[in-house]
Parts: sequence; C-alpha cells; structure tokens
Amino acid sequence: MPVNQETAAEPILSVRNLKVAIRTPVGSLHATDGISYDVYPGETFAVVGESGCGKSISSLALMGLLPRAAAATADLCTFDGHPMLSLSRRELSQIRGDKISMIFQDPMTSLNPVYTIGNQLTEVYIRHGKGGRKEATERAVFLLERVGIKNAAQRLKSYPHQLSGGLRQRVVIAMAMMCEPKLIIADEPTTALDVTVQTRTLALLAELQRDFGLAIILITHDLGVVASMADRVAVMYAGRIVETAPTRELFAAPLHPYTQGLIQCIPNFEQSGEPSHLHTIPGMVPSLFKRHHGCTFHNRCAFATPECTAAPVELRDATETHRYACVHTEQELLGYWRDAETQEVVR
Amino acid sequence: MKTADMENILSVRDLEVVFPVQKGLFSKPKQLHALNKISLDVRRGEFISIVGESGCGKSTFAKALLGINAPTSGSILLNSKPLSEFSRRELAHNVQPIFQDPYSSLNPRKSVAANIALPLVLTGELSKADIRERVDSIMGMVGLARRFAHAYPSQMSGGQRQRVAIARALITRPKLLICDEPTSALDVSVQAQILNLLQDLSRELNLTCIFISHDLSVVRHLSQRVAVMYLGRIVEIGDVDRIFERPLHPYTQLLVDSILPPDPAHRLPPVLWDGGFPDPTNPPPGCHFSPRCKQAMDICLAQLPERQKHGGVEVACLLYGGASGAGGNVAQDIPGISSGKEVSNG
Repeated sequence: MPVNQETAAEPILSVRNLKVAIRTPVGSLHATDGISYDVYPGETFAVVGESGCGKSISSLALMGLLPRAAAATADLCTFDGHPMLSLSRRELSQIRGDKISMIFQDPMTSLNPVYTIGNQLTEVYIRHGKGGRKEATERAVFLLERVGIKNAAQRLKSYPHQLSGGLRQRVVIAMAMMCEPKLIIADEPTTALDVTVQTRTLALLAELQRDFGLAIILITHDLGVVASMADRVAVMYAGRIVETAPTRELFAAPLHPYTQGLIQCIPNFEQSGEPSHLHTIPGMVPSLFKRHHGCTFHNRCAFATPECTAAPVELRDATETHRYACVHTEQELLGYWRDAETQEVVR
Repeated sequence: MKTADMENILSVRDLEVVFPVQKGLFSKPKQLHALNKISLDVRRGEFISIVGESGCGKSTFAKALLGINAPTSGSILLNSKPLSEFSRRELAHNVQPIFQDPYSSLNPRKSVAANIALPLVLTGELSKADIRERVDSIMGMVGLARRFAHAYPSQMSGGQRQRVAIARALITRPKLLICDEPTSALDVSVQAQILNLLQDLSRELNLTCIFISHDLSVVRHLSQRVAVMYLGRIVEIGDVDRIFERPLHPYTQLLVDSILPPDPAHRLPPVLWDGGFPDPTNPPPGCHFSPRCKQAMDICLAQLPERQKHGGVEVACLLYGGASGAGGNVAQDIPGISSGKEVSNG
C-alpha cells in the first residue's frame, strides 16, 4: 500500500470495521460506521473530512479516550501488536504518551497552565520510566532546540501563557516526542495557528518524521495541508471512508463524487480576474442517528441513481492503492472529473 | 488613485486606536497601538479585503468602523460625514457587520425571524406587517426556506446560521457591509455557498464590502483590492491580482509563500523560525517587520517607512524608497523583489 517500498513491511496500526456509537437521550448516534485502514511505519496518513464525519472520534477510540457515552467495537484494532480496544486503562496509559502520542488543535488546552513547560515535558519521560529527572531535562532541552526554540534551558522555566500560540504548539510537539513514539496522531495540529506559522509547523513535523522515522496520522479538514504533508489519504464522509489513495493519485484523479466536490469547493489562489461562482455541494450531511443502507452521499450527489441506495456500498479497488466507495465505475467517475476540470479551465 | 469624495463611501485618515494594557498588578499600564495611522479610501460598490495575522489589528479596524471602538485619534468619514456624528439608528442603516461565529452572534432565545427582524424593530420605523414582509423577502434572498422562520438558531447548521446573520445584516438595507472572517468557522463546502451568496448579494444590492480574512485564497477569489496589515499598520495596498502575483512588501511575500495550495506538487518551504509576531505593546524600532525580514537593511531598524506609491500599488517598505523625504524609487531594480515567487525562503 504505501508509496515507499522500504516501509511496505508490516503496518504499525491496523483497524478493521471500527464502529463508534454515542448514546444520546434521543437514540444512538453512529459516529463512525465500520471504517478500516492501515498505517505503515514512517508514513503520513491523512484523514480528511468535514466536521462531524467521524475523523477525530475514530482516533480517540483507538487511544481509549472516548467520552463515557461512546462505545467502540472493531473486528481488529491492533497497534504494534497491542489489541487497543481490549486493553485495561493501566495498559493503555502505558502506551499513550510512550509509543503513541497525540497533538491536539489547541495548544492552550493541551498544556497545563499552572505548571512550567519543563515540568510538563519531563513528567511524560519520568512517568514512563525512561529515566530520572536529569536525563528527562536533557531530553527536553534537546527536543526544544530541535523544534527551533532558542534558549531551551531557560524556556523550561516558562509557563504556557508566556509563549505565543506557535511556540506553544512546538512545545506540544516536543512533548509528543519525549518518549520516542512510533506513531503520532495529530488532530488539526495547525488549525489554530496563523498561516505563516502553520506552514513552518507542518514543515517541522515533516522534518521530525523523516529524522525519527515516525508514522503520523494527520487529521484535518484542509486539503492544502493534506497535499503538502500526506503520503496517503482517506476521505471520510458521514462516518465512513469513501475513498483512500496515495496523495498524488487522489488529487490527480479523485473518484468519489464527494472527494471531487471537496476539491472543487476550494477557491483557487492562482486564478485571477473576475470572480466566478465557487463549486458547492448542495444539501446537508445526513443524520447519523439513522442507519444508512446505501451510499450516505446519494442525496447530495449529482450522479445518484436508484442503485445508490439499493445495497450497501463497499470500498472497491480502482487500482492496487486506490479504493473508493461508489456504485459507479471508475471510467464514469473519471469522466465527471475531467468534465469538471475542463469547465474550470473554460471559466 | 485620487477619486472624488463622492465616489468614496468611506474615507479613513490617520486612524489610531490605543488600548491601555496592564501587564502586572502594580506596573504602569502600557499603550497598545492596535491601529497606527491607518488611512484607507473605500470606493462605492467595491469589495476590499483586509488580511494579516492574528493581532495585526484587522478586527479592531472593523470595530472602529462599526462605532464599537472609539478612535483615539484620526477621522472616519462615511458618506463624507464624520462617523462620530451618526446616531446609532443612522449608523445601523448604513453599516452592518457579519461576524465569524454564527453560534455566538445570534440570540439563541429568539426565533430566526425575530433575530433577523431585530435591527428593524429597534429602529421602530416600520409597522409589524412591513417588518414581516421584509423578513420574508430577505430570507428568500439569502436562501433560507420559509419554514425556518420559527426555528431557533440551535436547530440550524453553521451555514444556515451564517445565512441568518447575513439576512440580519441586510435587513436595514445598509450600504456598507463589514464581514469579519465570516466563513472561517465553516466547512469548505459550506464556505463556498456563503462566499457565493455574499458575492451575488453585493452585486445585486450594490453593496460595499470590507472583508476581513486570513485566507488569501478566499480574498483573492472575492475581492478587487486588498490591504495587508502588520502590527496596526497597512503595509501594502492595491489591486488584488497585482499584489498576490507580485507582492512587494517582504511581509506580503511571506504570506503568499505560506499558502498551501491543494496540490501535492507544492513543496513545503524549509523550516525557518524568525522571531514571530512581536509584542504589540513594545513594537520593534524602525520598520516593525524588520526583525523578521530577510531583506532588512540597517536603515530599516532606524526608520519607520511611510506608505508610498510604487508600480500601481502602495507599499510601506524602505526597499521601495519609503523613507520620508526621500521620494525616489531607490530599489526599483533590486534583483529578487521583482517577483514574490522567486524570493521564497531560498
């Protein structure tokens, strides 16, 4: 599956048929409805989709961080040999922060405001029994310098509020790296940052990944971030993966109508002259309280036919690495895309 | 760029907004120049954008135009009349805002129709029947089905709420619309719908829009002119295509280089950490951008550049002879600044 043959060995994370249901007073909400994917060592796997598509909750599920009202089931959910969904809380907390770390959107809420950043960085290291305070401090200084923070030793004494948003997010990245994790789950890591800082923070993540051989699951809504970071992409819609492909393939020949729509919605920075209308996806995301029999996108899809709702739509292979969940054939879907592209050029 | 006063709906001169900031419990309050000598003419019917990083003062500027932040000094003329002379009611008929978060900008306890009608009810000029009629027609214009009239904001999606906010802004038939990041809380597919709607409405109603955003792609798509702000000042202003194709100010170049297009062939620039955004209560001497600027010269640390015309745009940078007094275009042919693309972090 991955582009790089060297890493083609064993996936570090395998998920099959992951379902997360949230109990609510008005019934059960199916946040993810049977998603399957593999993440290989050293690759960046992006999960992209709009709010409510289940991209965050699926990662929270495998980290054992679901809210109480939510329950996850899966046929398989293995990280580095550990069955993540059947581990005890103690076993989970040994893995979290050690072999898997998470980076969240808002660096202010992922840092404790009443402790110094030195305190928080070293805590992870010491708690996981990697060494004493001295080694922990050395590692913290090393990593802070690695993420481009000057006077790292002094900075350890700073409190989160004394740092800017971009600096805080770099501290969070350093914290995620303290125990040499194999996998980092980055949930919208740069959404709260300014564009200039976002680009640099992503470049930093890419560099760390190369140098430390990390696997990254990058959860984002921003196709620009996906294009510049990811090796492979999964597009999620209404709790399901509707398309998965290597990044270049996905942008060159998106098959699922939702993916096509998503790409067309973005204003084109290169386009000059009189503004034309942007492409939109009509309608709304279906209710996740209901079980959907066929394709969940059919009510918003320009190419919907009666077949779309007749039977469950499974992911199928277009190429060895490119899979999509649509009843239409690859040729048909590609035809739509080429038409849309030529229209854009004419426009 | 000299236009008669009649053509300018808005004319801002040397606008300053200063906030006192208490840093410690016993320390003397410092002064934060949120806006520093902002001058801007907005032509009737134009779509002008203001871009910049958080903390550059773009929202303070919006609030000053709405009469929420009183200017410390300088003048704002709306239709050639000082903004301070407008009564609240008059102002409501001329300027209306659309804010970023449609979740907090609508009253959750009022129905959609009541939310939309509120500005008209407050002015008290129309009968109930007239108001109802206007609400009906404006809901149609923004693409809200009539059945939503009695719904509450909590029952609606983000995009629908933003439509309600737009309807509420347009109900007084304002001439000037101030949109402060109206789509940054929305998903891309919904963002596209709202941007299309704003574009259509501004044409149909001949609205003037001041669009504040950090998303350069959106800005380029919608607007005719753009003003780039840095630390309370406008550092570059002009035609949107001209500025984004050939950014002159090093800060504009940095912004353009930071765009991540949805194109896998695009490479991330190498990691380069500069000082980041400076402390606004203690701005760097000389040009405020100089500590982050790769082309900074000695003079940049000493002298604050004035905005000057240069090749169709206005730019405040000493590379282009912005030194007060020295009017010439010293750096007209400096290699590497002819195109922003070439200067990309190399």
